Amino acid sequence: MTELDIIAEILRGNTSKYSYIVNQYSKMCFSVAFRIVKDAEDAQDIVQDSFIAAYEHLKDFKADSKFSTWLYRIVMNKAIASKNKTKYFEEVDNQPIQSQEYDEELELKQGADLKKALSALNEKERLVIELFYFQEQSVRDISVICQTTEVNIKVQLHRARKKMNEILVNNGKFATR
Amino acid sequence: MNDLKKIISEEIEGLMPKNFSQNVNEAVMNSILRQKSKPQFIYSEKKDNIILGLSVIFCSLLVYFFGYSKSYAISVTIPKDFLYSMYMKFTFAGLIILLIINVFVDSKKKMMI
Repeated sequence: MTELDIIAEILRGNTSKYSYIVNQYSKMCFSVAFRIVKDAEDAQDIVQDSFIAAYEHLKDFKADSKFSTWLYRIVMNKAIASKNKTKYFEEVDNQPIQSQEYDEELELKQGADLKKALSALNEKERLVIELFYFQEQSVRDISVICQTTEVNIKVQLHRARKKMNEILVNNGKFATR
Repeated sequence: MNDLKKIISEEIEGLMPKNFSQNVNEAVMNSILRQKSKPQFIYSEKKDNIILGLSVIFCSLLVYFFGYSKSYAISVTIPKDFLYSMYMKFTFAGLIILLIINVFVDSKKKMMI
C-alpha cells in the first residue's frame, strides 16, 4: 500500500490509518520544529498541532509534491509563527556557486568524527543537511519547505559541507570526490 | 552515508522528550476522533440556536401585536388573589421541575457526544 493509497483511505473515513502517517514522520517533524524553536516541549506541541492541521487540510493535498514536503512545510510555518516571525531563512548574498562545489559529495567513512562535524553547523545548516541527507529531500523540495530560493538552499548546503569537510579533513577521516 | 543517517537519527532521538512518538500519536488520534463527532454537535447546537431565535421572534411579535399594536391590543387584568391561588403555585412548581429536567437532559446529551 503506497502513501497515496493510505491518504485516500483516510479521506474515505478510515482515520485510524492516520496513525501510520504520524509514526512515519513524527521524528523528522520534531527535528524541523526543534531547529527553529530550540525547545523540546515546544517542538512537541508544534508537531502535534501540525499533524492535526495536516489532517484537517488533507483534502487540500494535491499530490503535486511529496507528502513529506507538504507536511514539513506545515511544521515549518507553525514553528516560525510560534516565534512571531515570518521567515526563517534570510536571503543570503547571491554569490554564484561553482557547480563542482555544489555537486561535491562526501564519502564518509567513519562515524566518530561525524558528530563533531555536525556539531559545528548552525541550526539552519543543520536543518538543511538533515533534510537533504537524512530525509533525502531534493534541493527544490527543501526550498519549498523552507520557503526560500533554491540558490539559498544550495548556499546553505555548500557552507555546511565545507564546514564539515574542514573538520573531517583535519581528522583525516574522509575523502572528497 | 549510512553513518551520517544513523548519527542524525540518534541525535534527533536524543533531543526528543520521553515517549515522544507515543504521546504525539495518542494526542493526534484523540483529537481526530473528537473532531469526527464534533460536526454533529455543532449542527445540533446550531439547530438549537435557530429554534431559540425563531421562538424569541415569535414571542416578540405576539407581545407587539397583543400588547402595543393599536388595532389588536388586548387588556388583561389579573385579580390580586389569583397570584396566591393553588393554580399559580402548581404552575410555578411545574416550571421549576421542567427547568431541572431540561438541564439534566442537556448535560446527558453532551456526555453522549
